[in-house]
Amino acid sequence: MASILVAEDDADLRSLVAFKLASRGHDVVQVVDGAEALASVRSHRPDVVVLDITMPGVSGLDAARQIRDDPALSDLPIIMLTARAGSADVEAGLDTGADDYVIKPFSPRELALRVEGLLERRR
Amino acid sequence: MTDHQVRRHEGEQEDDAGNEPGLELDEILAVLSHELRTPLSTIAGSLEIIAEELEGRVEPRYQLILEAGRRNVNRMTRLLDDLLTISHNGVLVPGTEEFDMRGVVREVVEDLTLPAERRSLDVVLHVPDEPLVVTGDAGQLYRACANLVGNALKFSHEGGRVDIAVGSDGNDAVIRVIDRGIGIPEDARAHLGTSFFRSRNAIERQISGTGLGLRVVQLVADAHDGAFEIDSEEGRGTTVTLRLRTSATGPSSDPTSGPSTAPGAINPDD
Repeated sequence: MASILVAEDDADLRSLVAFKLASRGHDVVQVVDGAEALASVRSHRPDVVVLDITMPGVSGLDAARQIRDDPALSDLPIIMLTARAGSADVEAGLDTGADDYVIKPFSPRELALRVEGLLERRR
Repeated sequence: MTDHQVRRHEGEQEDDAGNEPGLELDEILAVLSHELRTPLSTIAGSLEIIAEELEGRVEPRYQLILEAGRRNVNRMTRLLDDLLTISHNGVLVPGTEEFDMRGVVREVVEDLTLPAERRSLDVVLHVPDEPLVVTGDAGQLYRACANLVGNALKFSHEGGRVDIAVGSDGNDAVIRVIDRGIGIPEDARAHLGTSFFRSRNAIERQISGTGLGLRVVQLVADAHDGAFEIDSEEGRGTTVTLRLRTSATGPSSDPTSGPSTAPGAINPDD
């Protein structure tokens, strides 16, 4: 049972991911863009962040970079949601410091298992 | 969202009709492929969650309906993957990783197990004992092989057999897919590999497809300094041979003669 931040601008997908993670007993906070994600992790640090790459304003990549650059947050586990299946784009996500990624369309179960895997490794 | 803003060619103006120049089909395809993945993710996820919730508690016919939904989400995903692949203005960025082609082909066969079973097809995979190291983009090669094997399954008669052989031939990695299905009509041969082309007999038999599969194979082969050949006879079946440059020289092994007995291991350049 962990606290998880989900940042995704698409309302339906965000609700679905939140629903899945909550159904497995986690506390989920939902935000709609990178700026809200940064504000949220700074005020209430979660155990793991699920970050969509393409969001308006501050993108998931920007948010991940800023999280890594912040000494208080730099070890925060991050898993990214990407629509890009090209390996170069996945590398870009990992280059900014994401610990893991899933490619859309993804299985909510798969995402939940990866999130829990990340949490387990950090214990 | 800067990731998929449409790029305008410098110095071009809208014409009198207000049409945007430089908005190539390829850019549209790339944007489409990107944009459709989020709603598709929601649909796929919704069906999965419902299927999990109802498992064992609902009549089989509803289970089948859910499965049909999920299966077609997978189909759309494969289409989007193909669209993304062919959207690179006809040129794919060559990859630089080294990987074992046997793993790529094994993954393709595994991922297509259900469609094969549904048509009672016997899929036989022949791989050598030694690694077959290729330099390139494993994702692109997965797509190309998935399209070739997918075609073999689609165009086979029910209960038929498909052979997939992986091997080496001098400097080339060779992947051969053999089916004994409906084959390709002579008049279609010249059009294969052009976008959206579908042959007469595929259309007549209402076999689903987008006509993009072979175009993807062509682009991937080009990006890997390779080639593909099709040998087919209508009513008898089709053999497709995909050749790729390997990163090493090694002994020849005929990919259709079963498990390789070629001596020695391939030494990839280190």
